[in-house]
Amino acid sequence: MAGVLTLVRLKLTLLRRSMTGSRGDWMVAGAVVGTGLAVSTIVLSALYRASPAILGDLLGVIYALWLAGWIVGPVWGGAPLVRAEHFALIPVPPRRLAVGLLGTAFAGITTAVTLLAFISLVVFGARLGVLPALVAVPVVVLQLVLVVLLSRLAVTVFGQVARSRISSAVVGVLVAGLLILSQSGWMLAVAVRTSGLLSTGVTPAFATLVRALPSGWGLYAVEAA
Amino acid sequence: MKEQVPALRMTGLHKAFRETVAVDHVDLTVPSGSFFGLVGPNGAGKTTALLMAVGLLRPDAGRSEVLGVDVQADPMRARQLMGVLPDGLAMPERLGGRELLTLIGEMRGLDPDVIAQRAQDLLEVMGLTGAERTLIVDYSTGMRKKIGLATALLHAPRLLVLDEPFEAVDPVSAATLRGILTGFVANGGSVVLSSHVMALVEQLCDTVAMMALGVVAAAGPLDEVRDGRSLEEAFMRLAGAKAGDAQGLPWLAS
Repeated sequence: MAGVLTLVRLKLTLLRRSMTGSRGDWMVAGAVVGTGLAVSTIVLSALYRASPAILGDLLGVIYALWLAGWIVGPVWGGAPLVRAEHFALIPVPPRRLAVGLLGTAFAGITTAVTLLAFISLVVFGARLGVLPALVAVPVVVLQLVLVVLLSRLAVTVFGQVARSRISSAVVGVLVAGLLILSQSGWMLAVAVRTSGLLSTGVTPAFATLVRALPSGWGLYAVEAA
Repeated sequence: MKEQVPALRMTGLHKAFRETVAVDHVDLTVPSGSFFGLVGPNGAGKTTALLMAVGLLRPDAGRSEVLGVDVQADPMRARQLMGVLPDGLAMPERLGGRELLTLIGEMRGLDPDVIAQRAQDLLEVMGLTGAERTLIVDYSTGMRKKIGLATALLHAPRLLVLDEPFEAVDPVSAATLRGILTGFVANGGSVVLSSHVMALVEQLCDTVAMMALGVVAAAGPLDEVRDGRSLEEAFMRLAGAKAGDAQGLPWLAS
């Protein structure tokens, strides 16, 4: 446990010190935009007037987008501040180090913002009843853990993939896709608006898909409660 | 008398990167209490051999023991016994020297008072107390070597494995480092260092091994290996190179 606390403290120190210059500005901007999106998700789940099924569909899509952000984000953001290689010479059992490093993954702006967004699931649960709301509380935590773990897994996979020449081209295409999305992503919003998705919901197959994704498992549990 | 356990023993260590054999079934024994120099030109396989010996690189074949402890089978125990300064040591860059030592001490489970005392001593000896507010990211190469060595010494190991510890270190700091290392050996510790500076190894070490093209060309007590010549001459003879051969670039003289 002491190791975990040490690593979390280290992460917070490094985080504070890396928030300088233009990098710091980007981090603050990201935190503000992320918080805005997270609050919007909560507001949507609290105030959206439609059948719970359609709201569930929308939340499923939103959580899938958060998951996608966590998976592709690190490709953009670079290596984590606290890495296992920093402790390669120290006699810390791998399992304890892994738990400590996981702890550091939770000490961060992105995790806090994502937790805020996932709280919308509790709000959604409350609209369904007391039991779904209660179920949603541990589900939110588990969903956050899952997303963080998948993100770390993605970092490892991308890291391995990027080492070979052909695969680095694949990662390049992915980054290019992200760039296009960041500049022309507003078109998707227009498409969503004109398609009537917000009032009629998505197709049944798509609704099943968003719940089948790891990001939708929590939603499915809350709806089933 | 009972035979002493070697400080470090490599048995059949082998590593190939694709078709290139970096280290070719190397056997090497570092006697306990020795100041051991591993010399060889760039690309001889010194760094790869040392990385495998300390457990930072998985060998294709062979094993390594630190004071009788198998590095692959019991890495945790081996890491308690040795202090390592690898080339290009990864460390959290946005920490100060004292913060880094405190972190390493905590991760090693040392007592806070012990950490504070040793960190102070190490920073003073390394001449880093004046750079208290400087983050490691802003350290010079020499300062990085020194803080790296400090982290290797913090837990009072019995064996030090240092890859090119004097590279990019200024003469004053180098003298300090030499003092620390000779004192460490005088007090019963063992040091293994790699270097391509023969004169330095000749001055410091009592036992040497020469590596070239992934194999150990010669190993043993310093005087035995150099056999009445300078270490550099002995090495040139073994490596088959001709000293002072200026034929390679005839256009340079015109």
